Amino acid sequence: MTDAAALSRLREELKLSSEAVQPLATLDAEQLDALHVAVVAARKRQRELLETAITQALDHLPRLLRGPVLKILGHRR
Amino acid sequence: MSSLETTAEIVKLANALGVERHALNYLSTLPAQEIRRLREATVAQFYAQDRGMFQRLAAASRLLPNALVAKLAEHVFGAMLAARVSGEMPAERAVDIAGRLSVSFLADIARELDPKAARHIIRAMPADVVIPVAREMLARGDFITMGRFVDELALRVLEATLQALTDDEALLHIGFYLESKTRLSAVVNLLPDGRLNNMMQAAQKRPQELWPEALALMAHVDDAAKRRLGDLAAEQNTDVLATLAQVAHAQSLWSDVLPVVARMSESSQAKLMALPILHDSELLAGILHTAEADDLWAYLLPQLRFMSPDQLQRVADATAGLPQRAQEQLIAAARRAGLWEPLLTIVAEIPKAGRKGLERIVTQFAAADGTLVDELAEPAQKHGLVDLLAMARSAVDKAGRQPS
Repeated sequence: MTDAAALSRLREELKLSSEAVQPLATLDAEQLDALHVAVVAARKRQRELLETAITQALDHLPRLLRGPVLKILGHRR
Repeated sequence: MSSLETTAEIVKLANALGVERHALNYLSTLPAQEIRRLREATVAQFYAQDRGMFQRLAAASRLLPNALVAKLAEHVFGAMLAARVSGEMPAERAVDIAGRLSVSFLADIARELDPKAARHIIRAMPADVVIPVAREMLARGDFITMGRFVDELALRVLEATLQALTDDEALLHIGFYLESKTRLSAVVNLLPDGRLNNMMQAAQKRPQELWPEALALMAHVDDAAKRRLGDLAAEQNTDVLATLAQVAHAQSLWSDVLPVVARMSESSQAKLMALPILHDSELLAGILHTAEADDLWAYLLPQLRFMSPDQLQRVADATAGLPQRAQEQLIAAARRAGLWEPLLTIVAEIPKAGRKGLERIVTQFAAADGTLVDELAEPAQKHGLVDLLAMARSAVDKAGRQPS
């Protein structure tokens, strides 16, 4: 991957403008790739922690309440 | 550029990404604000996920009494969900619920709060809720979260919390992670001299680790606080000052130190410059290198007044060997800040043959702006640099004869 392609991929991941990531252009493709991997992994970890927290919370709720709570959660399960 | 600010930002980004700080060492060449932007964008992505769901949960929780919401939060939903939902609540309600939660759970929530969404809640938190949670976070060593809170707390609550927390070493850690420079100055203003002295004494116990944090505190406050902290540092015994200089040198922190030194009282600056360690050629070269790399001449030049003939000679030798670009910056800085007198002090120490580059730059500047000769006249005569003055006058005359 070229430096420019690696920068573009990171920009898309962070939803930043081209100008905002321009100072990162001093990093090479390998460094930008490492940063991208770290950001994606952290985001995935956040998502998993959130899913676990929701599952545990639902397990603690009385069955009668689970339906309304699921509705509030947007029927995500 | 402050290397300490960059270090603090790397630690905060590593914390947000859940990686070791050393894994991000390759970011150390970036300006601190760029690393901060990266962290803010990353964290914003985390909290953008499912925000609608948390808004609906916060809205639904209105149907329940606060006491029941507090029970559900602590015993059913857990800190992560509670933090996300509370960020979507009005401050008054979130504060009331917080008052019903255990201190330990509040410390868990504090770590998970979206710093932007929770700003209004942190600002509304009363001291009787904040102080026990601050003690808990301190016991956990969660200084990054504490720094985030100090940024947002109401000033009277911050004052009460600072009075309640008596661990002065911890204040160094918290200060290191503060985001707002204005708030950092406010913290220093709230602390009496005794506590600031304690912080420096704490730094002295583990200098390689803690002096950089103490220097970061000094470097990032406003000018009045810089002067106060710098003078307090100068009042410490000479061992403390020598350690400060050693750490600044070993960890390349002169760019943070020079602006602080420049704000100190004249007697403090004189005391610092008289330290034996500041006669060391290698250390002086490190200071000059920083002034050159970061264009900090305006901070360094006034220090020349307090240097011994031996120190001045070393600085003069190093100045003669600077590349042309750095010499131009040095002369431009002297001009901007009206510092011809200290500059010419060292120029006079340079043998005639070694001055040619500097003389050429001065004459170029004079040709571009003839008023330079008036500024130069008195200090040049004082230091016996009549040749330089004559060259500058000649350059002005020559420029005046050329057709425009």
